[in-house]
Amino acid sequence: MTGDLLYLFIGFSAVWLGIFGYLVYVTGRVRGVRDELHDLKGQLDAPQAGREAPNH
Amino acid sequence: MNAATTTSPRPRLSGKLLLLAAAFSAAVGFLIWTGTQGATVYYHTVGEVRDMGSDAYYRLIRVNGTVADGSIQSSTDSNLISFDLQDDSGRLPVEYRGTPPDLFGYSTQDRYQEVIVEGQLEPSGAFRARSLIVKHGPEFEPREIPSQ
Amino acid sequence: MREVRTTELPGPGRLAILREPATAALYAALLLSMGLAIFMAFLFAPAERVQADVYRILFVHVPSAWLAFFAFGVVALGSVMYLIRGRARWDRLALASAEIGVLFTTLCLVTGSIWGRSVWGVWWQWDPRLTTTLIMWFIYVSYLALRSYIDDPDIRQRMASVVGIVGVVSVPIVWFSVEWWRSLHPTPSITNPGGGMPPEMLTALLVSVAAFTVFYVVLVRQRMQLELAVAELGILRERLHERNEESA
Repeated sequence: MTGDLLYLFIGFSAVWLGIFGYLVYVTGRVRGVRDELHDLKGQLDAPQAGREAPNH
Repeated sequence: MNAATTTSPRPRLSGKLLLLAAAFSAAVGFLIWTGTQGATVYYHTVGEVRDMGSDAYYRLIRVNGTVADGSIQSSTDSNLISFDLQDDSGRLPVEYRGTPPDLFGYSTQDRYQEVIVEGQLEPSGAFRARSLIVKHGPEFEPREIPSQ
Repeated sequence: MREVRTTELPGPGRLAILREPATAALYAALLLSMGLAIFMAFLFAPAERVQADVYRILFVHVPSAWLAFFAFGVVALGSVMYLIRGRARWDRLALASAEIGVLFTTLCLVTGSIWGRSVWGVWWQWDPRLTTTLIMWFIYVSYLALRSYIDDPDIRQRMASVVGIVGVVSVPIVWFSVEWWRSLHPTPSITNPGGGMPPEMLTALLVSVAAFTVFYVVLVRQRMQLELAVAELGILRERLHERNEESA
C-alpha cells in the first residue's frame, strides 16, 4: 500500500516536473536569445566605430 | 531516405546522417515487419501450448490464462507457488518460485484473474514459470465503501 | 538577402511576457486546469476496486499518450504545409510539436513503467503496445537528431518534413497495436465495450486531458518563439559579420 503511494508520487512528480522543467528551460533560452538579439541589433544600428563592443 | 546521400555538403556529416537514416528506416521497417508478420505473438493460449505437444518442451514461451479458482497453493518455506492456468480448452499446472506481484491472487465470485507466465513447459506437463505477470483489463470500478 | 523580421522584444522585467493578453490568458487557463486536474485525480475520483490508489497514475499516463499522438499529428500537418507553402513558420510548428511529442512519449513510457511495476509486477515487457511506443519514440528522436545534423536551413527543413510525414504512420500502429495483436497492455477503457470506468473517473480523466492540451499549446508557442528568435539571431550574426568584413 505504502509502496503503491510511493509509485504514484514518483509518477506524478516525474510528469509535472518534466513538463514544467521543459517550459522553464525553453522560456529561459528564449530570454537569453532575445537578450543577445537586442545586443546585436544595438551593434548593427551603432556607427561603425562601435562594432567591437563587448557582449557585456 | 535516399535524400541522406544527396544532401550533405560537409563530408563529416554524411556518416552520421547515414547512420541516422539507417536507424530511422530500421525502426519503420521493424514496424512494418511486425505488422505483416503474424508469427511473432506476445503470448500463447493454454490450448495452443497443448497443441504444440512435445515441441513446446524447454522452449521459453509466454502463456496467458486465468488462475483457476481455488488452485493457488503456496509453501512459505521454499517460496514456491503453484496454481492452474485455465482457459476454455483446459488447464495447465504452473509452478513459480519467487515473490508474486502484489495483485496476484485477487478474485471475486464471478471473475478470475488473468495472468501471463513466462517460462518452460516440462515433459511432466508442468509449466515452470520464471516470471509471473498479472494482467489487468480496461475495466475500472470504484472501490466499494463498507457501509457499516 | 533575407528580410529580418523583428520579434516583439518584451520590455524589462521577468514577467513582462505576461503583459501580452493572449499569453496571460493561456497561463491563467493552464494554472486553473492543472489545479483542477490534480484535485480531481486525487480527491474527486474514487479509489479503484482492485488497484486501490495506484490506478490514479492513469490521469497522467493517458493524457501523455494522447497528447503525444496529437503532437505527432501536428508534426505531419506542419510538414505537409511546409512542403506546400514553403513558409518557415510551418516548419517551426513541426519542430516544436515533435520535441514536445517526444517529451510526452517519454513521460508516457515512464509512468507506464511505474504503473506496470505496481500492477503487472514488471517494469517492462516486449508486448506490442510497449514495443511500438518505444519505436515511435525512436522515430521522433531521430527526427530531432536529423535536424541538428543539417546546417543548411532549406535542406534541413525539407528533409525533416519528409521524415515528419513518414513518421506519423507510427501513431495508428501504436494506437491499434492492442487490437491487432495479443498484448499485456489493456485496450482503451473508454471506447472498448469490455472496458469502462465510473463517471467520476472519466470526468477526472477528461479534465486532465484538457489541462495537458492547454500545456501543449503553451509549450508549442514558447518553443516556436525560441526557434524564431534563434533564426533571427543567425541572420543578424551573418549580417554583422558581413559588415565587419566590408569595413575591415
